[in-house]
Order: sequence, then structure tokens, then C-alpha cells
Amino acid sequence: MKSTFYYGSHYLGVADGIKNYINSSPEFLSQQTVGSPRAVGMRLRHYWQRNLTLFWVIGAPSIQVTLRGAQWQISRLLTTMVSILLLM
Amino acid sequence: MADLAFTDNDGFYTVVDVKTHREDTKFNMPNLTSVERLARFYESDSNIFCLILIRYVVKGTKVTATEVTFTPIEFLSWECLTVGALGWGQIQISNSNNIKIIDGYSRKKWMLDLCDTLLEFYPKEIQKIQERIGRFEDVKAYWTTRDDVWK
Repeated sequence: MKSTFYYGSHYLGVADGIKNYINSSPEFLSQQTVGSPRAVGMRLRHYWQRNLTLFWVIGAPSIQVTLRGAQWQISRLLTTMVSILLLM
Repeated sequence: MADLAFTDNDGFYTVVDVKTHREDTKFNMPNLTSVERLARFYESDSNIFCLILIRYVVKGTKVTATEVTFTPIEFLSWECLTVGALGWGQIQISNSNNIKIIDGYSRKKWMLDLCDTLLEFYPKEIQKIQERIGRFEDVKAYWTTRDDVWK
């Protein structure tokens, strides 16, 4: 059995969601971190991880993702809130 | 191996690793994963190892993503991958500025490509090790003949 998410090309929308989200975000680097690729990478990673399910909603509305761990439960809650706001 | 993991509604378990690359740095060959770890992980068809590759530029304190790739590792063409000598071998992107995706590529074909790559890679490593053995046999011979002035 193949994954419909990946082999149905639904996954392609996730990258656009991440890119749009990063580029629409306010500046989140300090002068201290801006010169260090490692520090920038860590900030980017931390920044989008909190919003993973949001990218899923943007990129592939038909896919529901179950995330493990409390951190992801919070993300799901945030996503629900954003979805409700979009529907209003 | 992963920055996060999730299970989708079809029951596929995806682990995701994030790699970032600043566009104005010339050379970047990030390690993606160990070949042995991936081989074990892919013993289950319901496991998927995914990558998020973020290429970005910095202006002031503003980061702009110029290209984002989200893909299972098996959709990455071997034209842009290589194996680095660390442990069993590390799958690396040979150049982060040139990533080639083959959407929908077969995992079976990709894993066989991996095996072929390793079956070329390991004999070269054996050759390197033989050279290192020879080198340190020479070093040992040199030190064996030295007077021990440090006693």
C-alpha cells in the first residue's frame, strides 16, 4: 500500500505553506543570531515546528494529521482557532 | 534522525528532518541520515523519512525563504545525493543549491539505487583503509627505530 499523501502529490502543497508562512512572518532574528547560519537554522526550525498543522491545512486540506506529544496538541488547537477565524 | 514525527490517517508514520541552507554560502553538503538507520527504518512499508529543506537569504534581521522542499527521501534523485564516510555511511546532498526531485519515485527503485551506490562506495573505502594501514605501518617502523629520549 502506498501513501496517498505522498503518492497523490498532496504533500507538494506543504512546502508552499511553509515558505509563505516564513516569508509573511515578522523579523525574528537578532543582530547576534543573524551572522550564524546554525543559529538561523535553529530559529527557523523552532519557528515552523510550532505551526506544522497550519501548513497542513494550507497545503493539503484533505489530510488530517495526528501529532504526538503535548506540543503538537497545542499546534492543533492553534490550527483550529485559525481555521475558525478563516471561516468567520 | 528527526525533528518531529506524525502519523497520518492512512496509518503511515512520517519522521521529518529539517535542513536549512543560507543561499549565499557556496558549499553545503548536509548529512541527511545514516544508510544503516534508513535501511532499518524502511523495513516497514508504513515508515516514511521526510525532509524539509529550506533555502534562505538574510537581509538585515529579516529571513526570506527562497525555496522550500518537503519530500520523502526516496523522491530525491541520486543525481543530487552522495554518500559520506561516517559510520556505515551518511546520505548527503551533494550540493544544496541543486536539489532534484522525482515526484512519485518508487521506494523499491530508490533503495536498489542506494544499494548500488554503497556497493561502489565500500570498495573505495576499503582501498582508502588499505592506504592508511600502509601509512601507519611506515609510521610505526619509523618510531620503532627511534631512540627513546623521553624515558
